[in-house]
Amino acid sequence: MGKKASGAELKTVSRYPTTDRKKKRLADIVYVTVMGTAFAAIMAAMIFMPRNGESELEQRKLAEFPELTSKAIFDGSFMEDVTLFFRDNVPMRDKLMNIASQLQEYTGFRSHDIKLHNVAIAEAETMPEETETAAVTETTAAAVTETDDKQNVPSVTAAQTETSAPETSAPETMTEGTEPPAEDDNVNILNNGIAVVGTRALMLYGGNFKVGEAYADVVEKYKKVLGDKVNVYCMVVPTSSEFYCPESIMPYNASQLDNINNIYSHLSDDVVTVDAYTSLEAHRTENIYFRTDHHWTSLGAYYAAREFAQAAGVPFSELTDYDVKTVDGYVGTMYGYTQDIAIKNNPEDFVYYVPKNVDYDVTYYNYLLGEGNAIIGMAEPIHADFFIDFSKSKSSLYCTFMGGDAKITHVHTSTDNGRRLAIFKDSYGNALPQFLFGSFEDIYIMDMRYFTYNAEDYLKEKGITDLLFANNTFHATTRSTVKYYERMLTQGRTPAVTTNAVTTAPKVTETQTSTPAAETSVPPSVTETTVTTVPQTEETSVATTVLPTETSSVTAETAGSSEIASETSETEETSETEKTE
Amino acid sequence: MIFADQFFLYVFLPAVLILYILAGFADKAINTFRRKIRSGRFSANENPVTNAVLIVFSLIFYAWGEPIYILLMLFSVAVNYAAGLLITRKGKRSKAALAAGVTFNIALIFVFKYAGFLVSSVNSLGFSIPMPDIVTPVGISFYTFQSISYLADVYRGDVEPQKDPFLILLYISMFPQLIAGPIVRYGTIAEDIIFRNLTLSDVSEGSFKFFIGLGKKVILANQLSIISEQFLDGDVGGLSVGGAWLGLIAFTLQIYFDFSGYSDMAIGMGRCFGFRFDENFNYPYISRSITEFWRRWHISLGSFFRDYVYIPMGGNKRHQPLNIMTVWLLTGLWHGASWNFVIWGLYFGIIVMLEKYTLLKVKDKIPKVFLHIYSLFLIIFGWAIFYFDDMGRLVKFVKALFGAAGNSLWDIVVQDSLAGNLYLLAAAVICSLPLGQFIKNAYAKSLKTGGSMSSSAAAAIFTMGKAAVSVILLTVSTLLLISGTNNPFLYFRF
Repeated sequence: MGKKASGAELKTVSRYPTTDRKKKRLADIVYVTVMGTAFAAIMAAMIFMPRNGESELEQRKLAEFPELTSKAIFDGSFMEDVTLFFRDNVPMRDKLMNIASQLQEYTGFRSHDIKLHNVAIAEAETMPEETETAAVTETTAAAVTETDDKQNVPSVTAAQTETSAPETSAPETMTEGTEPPAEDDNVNILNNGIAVVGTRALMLYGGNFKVGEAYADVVEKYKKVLGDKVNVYCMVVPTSSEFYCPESIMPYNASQLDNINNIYSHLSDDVVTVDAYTSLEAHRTENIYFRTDHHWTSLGAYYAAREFAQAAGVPFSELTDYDVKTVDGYVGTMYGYTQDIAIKNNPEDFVYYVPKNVDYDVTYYNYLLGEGNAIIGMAEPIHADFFIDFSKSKSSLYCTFMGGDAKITHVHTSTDNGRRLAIFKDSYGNALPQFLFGSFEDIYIMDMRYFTYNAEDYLKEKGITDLLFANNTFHATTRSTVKYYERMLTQGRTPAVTTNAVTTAPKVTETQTSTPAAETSVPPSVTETTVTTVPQTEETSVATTVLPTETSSVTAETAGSSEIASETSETEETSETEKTE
Repeated sequence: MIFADQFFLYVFLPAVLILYILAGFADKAINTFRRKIRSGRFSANENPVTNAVLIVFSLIFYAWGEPIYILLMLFSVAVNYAAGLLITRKGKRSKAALAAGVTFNIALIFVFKYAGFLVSSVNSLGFSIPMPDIVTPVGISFYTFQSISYLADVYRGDVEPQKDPFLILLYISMFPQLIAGPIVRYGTIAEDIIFRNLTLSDVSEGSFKFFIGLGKKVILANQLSIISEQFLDGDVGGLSVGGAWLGLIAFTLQIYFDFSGYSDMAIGMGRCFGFRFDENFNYPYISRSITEFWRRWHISLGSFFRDYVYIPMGGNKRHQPLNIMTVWLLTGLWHGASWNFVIWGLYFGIIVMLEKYTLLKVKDKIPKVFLHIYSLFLIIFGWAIFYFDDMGRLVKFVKALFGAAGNSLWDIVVQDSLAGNLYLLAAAVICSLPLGQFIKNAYAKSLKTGGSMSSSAAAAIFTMGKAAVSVILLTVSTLLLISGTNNPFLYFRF
């Protein structure tokens, strides 16, 4: 018993005496049975359980099984896509992701209740740069991650997908991260990462004075083009990181106030600046920003709208004039971006305000989107409520306002004061319009990323009296925003914009009355699906509504418009058809 | 195809396993039949059907990622098969066949892996040769080296040449070791190829090793890569000292678990099919000298250079310093076609040489703790050279590492990352110690001596523990694979 095993004996573990050999065999049988059963069970689940096809959490369609062609086999894309299918389109994906997020929480602890996600050194700009901005911003973006600000994109930030592990054979991989993302320019905004402070996620701001000045310049350009008859307002909206960022993270979060002031100081007196900042700051203790989403709340938008109404000299309704609607259980985009379980485990209320004392009629001109959110045409105009029911798809609740971004919205109200407002906006602007129904008789809401007409022609034709630029600070200092606004002034100059579809706009035809129901019944998360299910009667109707104004020369030369350029051929084809009609 | 991926784990691997089991029955039937009609005369290959299954799936495995380059691999196998047969002939012809075969393999790896590097290096001297547009085929560094070892071993008479071309194809293309090693010698598995006795114990130990490897790769390496990328892929000039060290230490642990995890999966799978590959890692980070480190790290590569370069050049008998530096230059270059790998190799060459004349002579007189610190420091610093293939970034990073860039010592990002990954880092450090060895030894001891508990109880606990570890590792790895989208093996193009 007390005999000490020698070192040599310890090393030869596999040599057992005969009696132990049986034991070893029994042990092997038990082990292989348990392990084999578990493996087979997981395998069966992975292969045979139903696949969802889309992820609500990540707001995107999951990979589909590829078509088998000999070409796809020989170039390897078939195998790649099959692998991707099994990797991406996993049964119960969202639920398993939540478990994984919980697991990842166990890798450590949160110091001071803060968790940083892709937070990198901010090239904090306190001084305007002298050199050409394009080069400078893109290089400083090295440390800066790109995050999609639209709802229908994967949760993974570009930093994670782009910076592949240090593959030593290809020197390009190292520099890849420093290059601007050429294709997804339209959905990316620069940021310094996301900090989760307690249960609130803050997208940290990088700032860029030079681009802010270019933004001011382009707003100024609109004022020049539109002349004295149109009031042009510029309202740059701060985001939550400006008000809730703890001191310790401030080195990674540039001052939005400085950037807003910089923009405003570059505007002439002809453009009216709207100070949303001061009133938002005054109400910072209220729920003016979502904790789990990168947007502001209706309440935040209300304070900004009040500021704008005052600047525009129009009447403004107090909150008591609205019905308050609340949907609970909202977990917004920030969970998808960060996969931070602290966000997932702390949902919040989504509150919106429906105007009581004003009648309004809303017409949507939806853009048809193809692969990669490329605009491939326009649907028939439809009438629906301004507020779309997304209570079934809680992560997309912000789409309650107009159902998303990819459209032009026209609201005709019972207000009768001769004021017609156009709003050029990003998604922050979606929460504004309902507070202005009592202030303007017509409101046109246009997303800078989805507008294919010539802005000058369009605004003049609609008899616009007031033009509001409503962008958040991130977009107002992002180069692609400036490009969009510049392009909107030059694009589609040649043919007249009017098509039957547009001019007959607010009238409801009998076949279309059912559309609101159709829109809300759609799996609501993705704007794309909302749009594509809009009833299209005939092929000809598509042809008439596809925008005839795009010419290939314009689209091709405009940077950041690859999504349109790629579809040029189709657009041309359809405009051909129209000409022949 | 990579191992740590849903398609491989849950589609490809089960398909192979099922067909392999069925093929096993077929082989058994064939062998019984043979014995009946030939009374005792055995065929050279007792596993024709299982081998066929392995070959077919290995080719599918390779073609999955490289549908065109599979032709290159088949061509390489054909050439090496022929060279192997020619080498056995006596006399000068044998030597010529060896020379031709080895030259072919070196030419192959040179053209497909180093041509671009050579051209860009020459061009940097002012020339303008057009860059060859060649993508390095996956696994070429591994299969050319295996081919060279086969030819050399045949020439030396260490192994019999294989007369069946399909068995050479099996040796070269066997999917567990095809694309990221280990570099298996022909002699190691020559026996297994024609006659293997797959036991339950092989399946038990092989599968356990596979799950350990999967866990190393997915749970440790992939999670650690989030830290290393965060600090090493950004603006390295602006890193705090703490950030530079945290990033580099995370990478140190990551690359070990990545590569050794892959080797474990390969060895484990091989075992499940009845092949016994040699170990490729032996707890390298517990080394007390750099010389020792290289005996514990990527063992199959080190022994390859020792047996086929260092000793043929003269070993320690003739111009040893030259031999050492050659081996380390080649070791560096093998890891990648870039200057930083050359520097990385020479860095270790110089250290190993210096150790030979200094440290190794007085090693026993120095307290172990200092030897560990010394070794770890040089190893960790070496990974910085390994990581940055851009010299400008490397210089910036080294400055940050030693506080020479004037950056702060510490910042909130480092603190957040360290706190947020503290348990992960601790687990990684513990797992790089010989923990498994310790448990196994304790178990063996309890079986031998009884001790406080009966050996049956010890066996039960050990077995259930093993099963629980396997199931947990598989489940957690699967969950993490689903949640992570970016999952490349670091050693893929090597």
